[in-house]
Amino acid sequence: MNVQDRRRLLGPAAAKPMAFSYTTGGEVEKISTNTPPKYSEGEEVLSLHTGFIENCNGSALVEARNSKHQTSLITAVYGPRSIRGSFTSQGTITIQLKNGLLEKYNTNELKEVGSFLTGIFNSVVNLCRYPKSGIDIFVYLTYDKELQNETFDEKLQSEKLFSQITSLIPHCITSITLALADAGIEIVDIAAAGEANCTVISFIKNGEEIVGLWKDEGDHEDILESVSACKEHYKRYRDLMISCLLEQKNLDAKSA
Amino acid sequence: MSLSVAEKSYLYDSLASTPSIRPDGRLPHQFRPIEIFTDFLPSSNGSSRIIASDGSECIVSIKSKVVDHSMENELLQVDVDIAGQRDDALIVETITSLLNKVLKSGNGIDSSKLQLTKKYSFKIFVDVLVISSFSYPVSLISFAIYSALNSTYLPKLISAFDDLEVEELPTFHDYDMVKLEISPPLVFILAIVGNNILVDPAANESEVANNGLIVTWSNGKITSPIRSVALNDSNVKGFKPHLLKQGLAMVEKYASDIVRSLENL
Repeated sequence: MNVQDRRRLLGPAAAKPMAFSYTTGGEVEKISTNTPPKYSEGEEVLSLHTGFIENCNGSALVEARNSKHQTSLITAVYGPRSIRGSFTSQGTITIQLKNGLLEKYNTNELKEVGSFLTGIFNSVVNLCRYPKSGIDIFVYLTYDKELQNETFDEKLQSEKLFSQITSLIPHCITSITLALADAGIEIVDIAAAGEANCTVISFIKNGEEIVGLWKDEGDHEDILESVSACKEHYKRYRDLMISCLLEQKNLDAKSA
Repeated sequence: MSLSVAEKSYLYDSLASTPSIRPDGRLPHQFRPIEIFTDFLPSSNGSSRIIASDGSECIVSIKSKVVDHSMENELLQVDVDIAGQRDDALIVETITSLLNKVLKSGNGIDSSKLQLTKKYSFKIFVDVLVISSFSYPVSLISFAIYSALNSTYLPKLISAFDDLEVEELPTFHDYDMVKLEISPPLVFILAIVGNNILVDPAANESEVANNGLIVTWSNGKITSPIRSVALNDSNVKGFKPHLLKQGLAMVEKYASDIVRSLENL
């Protein structure tokens, strides 16, 4: 049935769609490491990966696996970009955590962790350098799973459930720090965190300053013991991040 | 409260000096005066209204429901509403999540005190309305929850405790009520300014604080959750590990006095 289309403004009968030639040069392509370097930290195997999302300013993928737990999270940094409205003498950071397909954590808890991470990175990012701008950070929990142990202990399992979000926080901090470095955003120092006795403590300046403390389980007696244990983890994670960033830089230099 | 750069610098220097000089003349461990009214909502099982000296005000209502405790994991649920903030605002959701963790059974609340029969328990709903707040309101809310739970009366059970053998629903006395005997945890906010720790920071002190600590006190000891919290967006910095020890020691020293004064209401 040949009926004239009266719903659209049609062009001339012989009109052809415009075709653009492919742009040559000028396009900067971020190259990510094809084979992500794996770093083993005691029992835990960490895989760090940066600069693999093209439409954001900086990105990082952190995958961690030990005998009990496996997690993977992607971080994307957008900014610094200008914000409208009244003048602000320094930049503002927003951090949002999103559940992956598993929908494991409730929104309240994720927002609480997001607010805690914002507090940490407000003291880590040199915000004075970015007046009237905003830095938006999105952390996406792609995979987070407890690996089943053969020896099933009910009490141990329930303790694990409580500490799950706690064990995720150090990886979030690693991932955000890497993504910020990848985005070229000025940071005071490389921030990382360690976990011990269900306590997460985040440090900067070679462990001389605490930027974040999160404890969900247990009494305070073990906090002071946890500080030294977390500091050891912090140093290991920080060294891994530095070697990952240097490797990335070498790869970029080779491909340029 | 918005302070100028010069005002912030003056305030920071005076708070970070040794000994610290607070703008309202308080000692580092001293709280602002608070007014608490309890049991003023006739349709609630317990209620309280707390007013801080800076005009911050919070109302807490306690309501109860009979539930099958094999089906319900948590017998205490907190819901926070802050005037002028959306329900999904960051501060509202953060405080709700924190308070639910503070009042989680096992931490400070003995869930056996809420048990009615072998099958049923009371579930307590704590509704918090922050009418106005000028500084981080968690400490104020926790004081209000503490006094509301301490003034809570629940209906008196007259049916049998053992209801597994004979299926029956709990029956209550028409008039008599029983006081709820639980000891809820308290939450303290500490501000870190330079090398000094200050309890209960006011709005202007929060604005220049380098960092903050949330410390929970339950049954005569410090317990989890313990957190660091950024009290402002512009002046946040790291702090030395010894300040953590100092802050916890300060709470340990003075928290029992606060509990005693709240119990004497």
